[in-house]
Amino acid sequence: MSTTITLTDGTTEEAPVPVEKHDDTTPLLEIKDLKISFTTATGTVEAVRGVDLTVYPGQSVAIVGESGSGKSTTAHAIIDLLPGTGKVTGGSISFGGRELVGLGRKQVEDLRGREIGLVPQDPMSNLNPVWRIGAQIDEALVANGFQGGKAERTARVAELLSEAGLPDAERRARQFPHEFSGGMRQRALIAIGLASRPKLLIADEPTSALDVTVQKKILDHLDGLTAELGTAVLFITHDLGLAAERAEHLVVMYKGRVVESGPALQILKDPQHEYTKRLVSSAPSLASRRIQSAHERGQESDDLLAEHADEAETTAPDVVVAKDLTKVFTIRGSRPGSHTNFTAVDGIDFTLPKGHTLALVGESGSGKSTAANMVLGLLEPTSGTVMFDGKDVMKMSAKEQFALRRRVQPVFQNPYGSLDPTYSIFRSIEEPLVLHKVGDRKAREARVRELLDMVSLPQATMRRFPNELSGGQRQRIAIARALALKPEVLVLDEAVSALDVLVQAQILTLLNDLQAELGLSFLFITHDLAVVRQIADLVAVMKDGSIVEHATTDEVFDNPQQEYTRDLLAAIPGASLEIGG
Amino acid sequence: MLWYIGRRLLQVIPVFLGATLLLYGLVFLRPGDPVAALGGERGLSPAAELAIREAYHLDQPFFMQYLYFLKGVFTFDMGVTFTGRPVVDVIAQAFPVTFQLALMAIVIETVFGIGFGLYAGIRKGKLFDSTVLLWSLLLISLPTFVIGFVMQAVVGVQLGWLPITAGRDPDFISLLMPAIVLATTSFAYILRLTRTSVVENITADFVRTARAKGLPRGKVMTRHVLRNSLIPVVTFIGIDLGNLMAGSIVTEGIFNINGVGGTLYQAIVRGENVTVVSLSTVLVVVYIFANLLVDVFYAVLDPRIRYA
Repeated sequence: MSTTITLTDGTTEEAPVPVEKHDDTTPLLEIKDLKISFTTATGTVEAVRGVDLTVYPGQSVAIVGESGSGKSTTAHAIIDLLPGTGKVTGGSISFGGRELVGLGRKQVEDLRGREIGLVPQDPMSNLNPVWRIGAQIDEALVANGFQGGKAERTARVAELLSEAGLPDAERRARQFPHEFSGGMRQRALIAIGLASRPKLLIADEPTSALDVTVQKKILDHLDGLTAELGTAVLFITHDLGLAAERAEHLVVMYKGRVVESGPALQILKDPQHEYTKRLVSSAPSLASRRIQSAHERGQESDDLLAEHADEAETTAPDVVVAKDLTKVFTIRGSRPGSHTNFTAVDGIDFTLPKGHTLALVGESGSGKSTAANMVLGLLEPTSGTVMFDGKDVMKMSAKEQFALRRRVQPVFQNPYGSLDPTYSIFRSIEEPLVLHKVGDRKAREARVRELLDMVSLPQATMRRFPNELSGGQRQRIAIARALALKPEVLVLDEAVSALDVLVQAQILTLLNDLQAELGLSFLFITHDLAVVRQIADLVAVMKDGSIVEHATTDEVFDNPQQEYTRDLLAAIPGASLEIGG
Repeated sequence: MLWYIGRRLLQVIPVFLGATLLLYGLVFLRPGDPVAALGGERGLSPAAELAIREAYHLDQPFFMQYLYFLKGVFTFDMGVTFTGRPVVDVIAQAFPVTFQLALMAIVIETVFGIGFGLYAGIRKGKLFDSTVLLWSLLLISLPTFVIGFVMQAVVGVQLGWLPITAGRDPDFISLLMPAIVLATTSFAYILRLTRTSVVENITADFVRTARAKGLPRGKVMTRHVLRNSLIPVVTFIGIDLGNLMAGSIVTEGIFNINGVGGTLYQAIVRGENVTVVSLSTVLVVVYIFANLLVDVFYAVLDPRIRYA
């Protein structure tokens, strides 16, 4: 048996491939030379330019690629759910021997749900907020010809929900989506996707919006369920580690083309295409940036590790010290006058040594962002202190606090939301300088140019607007703005979480270099342990408002003391895979 | 929810007192002396004038007068008009016809506004959508009396389909044209609001999920697109109900209807302060309850809203 590898230049070559398991030799889904384009005001944009893909019955295939690679577009084209002006302009999609391109509306509606199910990406926005969970599963049953009355359907809905791993399903079915957590909603969406026992399930980034431990649980469950039902799964993901762990066969897409395809492990171990090589080497779950970027600067990794360990333990003075930091929020109850207290941060202690990176790690709701906001002085602690350079931040006068803002600067998660769309890049970066009355106009312009150089963007960028830039470029702008006042500490709140892996790797390298050049200290807030390994010297693991483990990065990764930390580490996608080089 | 409704009902008290005090104060500050006006050219004899002032507590200070007024409101004895009719009778006569007119207008603007808006939203950018958008803009910009007179001339006189005026004790048919005229502006607003909302929701992720389930197109549109799009529309309709009750002065004038608008206008012109304040008070109460109704209905439409 052999697999065809399509290269970017359009040529193909036969590559010998280890045997993959699929008993059936007739493909369930066969996509040939698929082309999709979108019509925009400025002309036609080709999103997918000749994709070939085959899924056999019961097989799991993953399409991997960064945003804009055309992976979701390809998947949506299968069930005719292309957004807006998207149109299939060439090629064929055949499902069970039937051509799907050009099928009438009724025929596609019959196919959806019954033959091909979809588990969409974002559990927060994919359930209709005004209908009960049960009703949203029930309508899928009705639409796909479920035989039986109201009572049978209700029973079936509960069955499907508990099958998707939701306890207490009967009561849950009567609740609304806003009463569900993200993980629970994703389980409900899985129940919808599998409600009518489709032969193929398209899972479009099914867990990218969830915490790692939840992600692992749900994917494990989905794996078991589809294996049991014999459902073929087409995974769409940006995470190479996750793809390799969950699928037998990988298809790597880049700029609308399939650049490489083959058995998962083979691609990871021996990537052929240039892009795949880059993807493998920068996948956060598979490599350690700390050591790697040191290599780039010509240092031996051992030296660096030793140097960091020394510094962390001895020389560097602590620039930020949090002592017994607590934040209690009061939540208004349903009756007048009643209220409950919610302790978001519960007496935590941590120290950030000068010139180092401390990562606050935890899942959503662990209190890490609340802690960061208190360090930034944006939230007042209920009790406890934040000392900056030996001074209590809360006891400072308004003037001192204003001065403090120059020395502690934030970079937030969403580079789309944190830049004012009506400000030019120049104005965005200049604004902190104006507020703090730094220099005259000429000096400020020179500083903006210097900052753009620092974050490796062309100086001409300053005349552009945020909507003209990519996510990675915007995050560079946000970093440049944070650096404008020459701060000593940067608080990076999920600063790379919204970015594609390759861009993420670039930003992390940039941060690393800036730290070395400017002697910055980073407080790095993240849910992603894989990223922590690449950037942090020290790690504080947070759970339910408390710090459960606080040690150097190597200690946490090599010898975790707490059960919870071990769970977190085990849940990193691809953590179990042994990949050389 | 019951706590919420209870608290909102309690809020009615200060709003009611504040609004009536303000109204009463404004009317009190009006130039001119109603008692002197009552006498006409010849004037009243000093004794008669004094008797009238005493009878209507006009010799008392402002705040005492206000308290007498409140007492009247709560005992449904709001005094009499200049012609001697009890104000309660005037209210009882004016409100039913206005209420019927407002209700007809609400039905017309809701049915057509939502219907046209939904269709335009689904077919965004197509001929129907652009035509309807243009027409709705035209209707919003035209003053009510223009639409009223044109309707009277075309539908009433030239085509002879509907009666031109309503008159006393109007029936359904004679109120139809005024109701249409009254509804036009709000119809245009509801249409545009629905359309925008539909356009927004149609690209929502949950709509795509609904389609991926295999739901037929009609069900996707009604259960997932329309249902969610109605939430902002309902808010508008609720506020509009209050507006229609009070704001039909022009329409009632054109079609010669003795409703709230017409009566209020006459009372203001004649300086019948008691009637003005009493009618306005009823309108304040209508407004407050219309808003409460919207908020409650809102929670029914959108389960995410929980009043606490």
